[in-house]
Amino acid sequence: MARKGMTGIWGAGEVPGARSLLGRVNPCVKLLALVLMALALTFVFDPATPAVLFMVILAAGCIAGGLSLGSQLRPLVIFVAAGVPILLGNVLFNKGNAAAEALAYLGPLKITGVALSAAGSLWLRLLCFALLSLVFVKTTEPQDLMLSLVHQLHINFRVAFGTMVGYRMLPALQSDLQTIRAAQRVRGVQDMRGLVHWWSRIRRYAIPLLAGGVRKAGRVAIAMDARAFGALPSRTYRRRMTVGRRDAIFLGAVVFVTALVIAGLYVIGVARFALW
Amino acid sequence: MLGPSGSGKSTLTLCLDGIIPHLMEGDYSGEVVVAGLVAGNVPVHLLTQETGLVFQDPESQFCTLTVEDEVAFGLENLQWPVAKIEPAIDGALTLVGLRGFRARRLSSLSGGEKQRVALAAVLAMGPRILVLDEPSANLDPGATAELFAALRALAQARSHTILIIEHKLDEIIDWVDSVLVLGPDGHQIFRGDPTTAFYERAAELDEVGVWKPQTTELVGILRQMGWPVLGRPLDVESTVSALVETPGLLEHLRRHGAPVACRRAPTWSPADVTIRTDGLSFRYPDGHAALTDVSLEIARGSFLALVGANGAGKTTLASLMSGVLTAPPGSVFLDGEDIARLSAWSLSSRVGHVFQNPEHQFVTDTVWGELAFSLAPRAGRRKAGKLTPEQGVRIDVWLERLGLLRLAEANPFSLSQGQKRRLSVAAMLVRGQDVLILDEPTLGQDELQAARLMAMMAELQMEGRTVIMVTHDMRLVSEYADSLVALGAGRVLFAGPPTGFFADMDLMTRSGLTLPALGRVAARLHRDHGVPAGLNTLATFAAAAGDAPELAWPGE
Repeated sequence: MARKGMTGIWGAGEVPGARSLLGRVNPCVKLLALVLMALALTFVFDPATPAVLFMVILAAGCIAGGLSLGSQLRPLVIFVAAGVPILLGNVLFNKGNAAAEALAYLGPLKITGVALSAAGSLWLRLLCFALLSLVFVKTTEPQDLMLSLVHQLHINFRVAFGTMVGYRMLPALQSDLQTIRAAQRVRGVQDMRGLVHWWSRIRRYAIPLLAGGVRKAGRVAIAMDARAFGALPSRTYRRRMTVGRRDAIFLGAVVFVTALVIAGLYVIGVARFALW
Repeated sequence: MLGPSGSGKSTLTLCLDGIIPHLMEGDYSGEVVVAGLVAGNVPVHLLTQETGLVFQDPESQFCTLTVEDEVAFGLENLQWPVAKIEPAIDGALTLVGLRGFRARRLSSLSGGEKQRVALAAVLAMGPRILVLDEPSANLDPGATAELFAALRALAQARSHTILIIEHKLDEIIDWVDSVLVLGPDGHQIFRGDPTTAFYERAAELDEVGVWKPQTTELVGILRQMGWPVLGRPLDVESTVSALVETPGLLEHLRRHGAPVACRRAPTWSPADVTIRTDGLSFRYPDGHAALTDVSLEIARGSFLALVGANGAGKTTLASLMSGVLTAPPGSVFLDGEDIARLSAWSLSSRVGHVFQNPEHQFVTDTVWGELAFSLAPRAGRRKAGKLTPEQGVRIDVWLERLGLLRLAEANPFSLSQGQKRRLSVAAMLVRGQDVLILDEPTLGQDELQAARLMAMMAELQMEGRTVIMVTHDMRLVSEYADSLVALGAGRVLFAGPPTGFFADMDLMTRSGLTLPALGRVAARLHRDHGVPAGLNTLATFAAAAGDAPELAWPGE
């Protein structure tokens, strides 16, 4: 049974790194920096570069984001686990396997350096993307992100606010689902596994969940209307998100450090790129 | 504004704000004039500055994440200049007594604080009319008192016209100066001052199922019994003085009003105990300790009320008893057996648990199917094929009893609130469990629906079953429960007869609860006039008063 007031990674709870250095950077600029870094990573083809960048992001999360090591690493467990299928896939199917020399044999499986390097690169890049997103979420107030989308990217305020209200309701839906499951279990509903029961299970949970969700959404819509939301073509903002010197310095620093890491590793002959 | 479920109270509130007819579809005729503005001709954003709406559920009326953003939201929508918004936020928060709360996150607030923020958010827009649609329905008694204190201050300042839909009438009756009653079909039944409503038109209000103040019900009953109670008192204060001035009444109460004891002694022989918890502690996976060292005995055939403030652990305890949560081994026993050793199915056929929201427990497409599912899970969808003829008859008998036979083929989701609630209870009961747990069974029900449901519970108790009710409604507790467990911060604060609990004001305060109005009347009579304690319900009060001696009538 869901406990009231539970908050997961989603929702209206406290953002741990909101008051840190990273938390004070304009969310859109932060998003741009994140995209640039991710873009650079997509062209890198060796395991060492993403490994070093992972460390850099981790350190940035600690020092500039005020996040503990544990709070950054723990949510990544599922991505760490993803390494196993990635490795297996490369050992079995990498194109370079046939031509390359075997490092070892595991029964009939030929383990090659090519496969290990490709798997390592893919896996570490995946971890980098996940960590980047995590640091972003943990250092960005949802409200700031929304305001920044409206002020810097000129997204329609009705859409932006609507999305944020929906975001507010996610934890409630999550706890509703848990309540519904418990409520049906005491009626003697047994969750039967397997595809045959998949549809009936979805239906049983979905109808009460949707009925409740639609009603709640209708109520929020009325509450917003009752406070003149969207009645006028524009609105004023008590807080205005701006882009300033701090944001320029932050973006420059991210580009500089990323370039420095990649160039440095290239010079010592470790970094390789997918382009050539 | 009073009226039974579905009488159009909420619809009327939306008309005052222009949401109807501007933003909702429907047929609209006639005219609504708010502060001189014809609602049909004036845009919503102008009406919202005259009428401020506060709704029932704090969670589904917030649009932002922090207190200050929430209060500013409406002002920004109205394009107020930023320089004017800041002082307006402070002003509105001061009005509701939340000065230091500006930067707080909404998710960190208590229910009462949330509703006061919702109130501040509409106050900031400067309306002259405040409309509140059951603002306390989701709050515990402590939070309700908090909200009503803020409202009372506003009412006394006479700065706003306040329209409130509320059934906890005893808490607000001292500052209500006018009553509007809607009937089941949305017609106006009464409009006038509260004394006329609750004294001269009481029978009519009873008929449509409208909650009335307990005080007026008490005076009504005493008069029926022949006691010449003078005047038309509404609040606790004036009711006490009216009773004191009634010749002979107090003497009679002193002589005959022996405190009504719990139907069973507080200690039971082991054979009579149906559920027992032994040093039960429970911690959620996220580390929150919900229960600490709870040891209880619940007697077979008792009607137990589980009370306490929000977050005290009531729902957790109920969930552990019904197997919704897994109890640690050796801590919860059902008829002497460790619950942790029972299979989910056998536990659910012995303990029923009715959740707060009936919709959460519907698992089939028809009313009939809901009951069929309980008897034979495979029959729910595939119709009668899997049921024995005897089971089919049993379902029809239940539907008849619920008044739902006509709706047997209807979808459960299409029923009214009261019908949904009765169906969810019946779907649980049809399996014949000996113990039934109900979470806030009367929430959102009107007086008739609640009375019907509670009669059903009382009937079950007569059959020898055990009823456990989680509730904030102290009036319900005093009228139906014969034993009471009060929880506070996960610990047992009290276990015993409700009369004992209601007699201990200090304990009630510590539990975050308040006495129902009748209890307050009884407490005053006890303290100041030596009337025996415990006359907390209409029934016990009436029994103690007895028929008035003939000579008590003036002139005889």
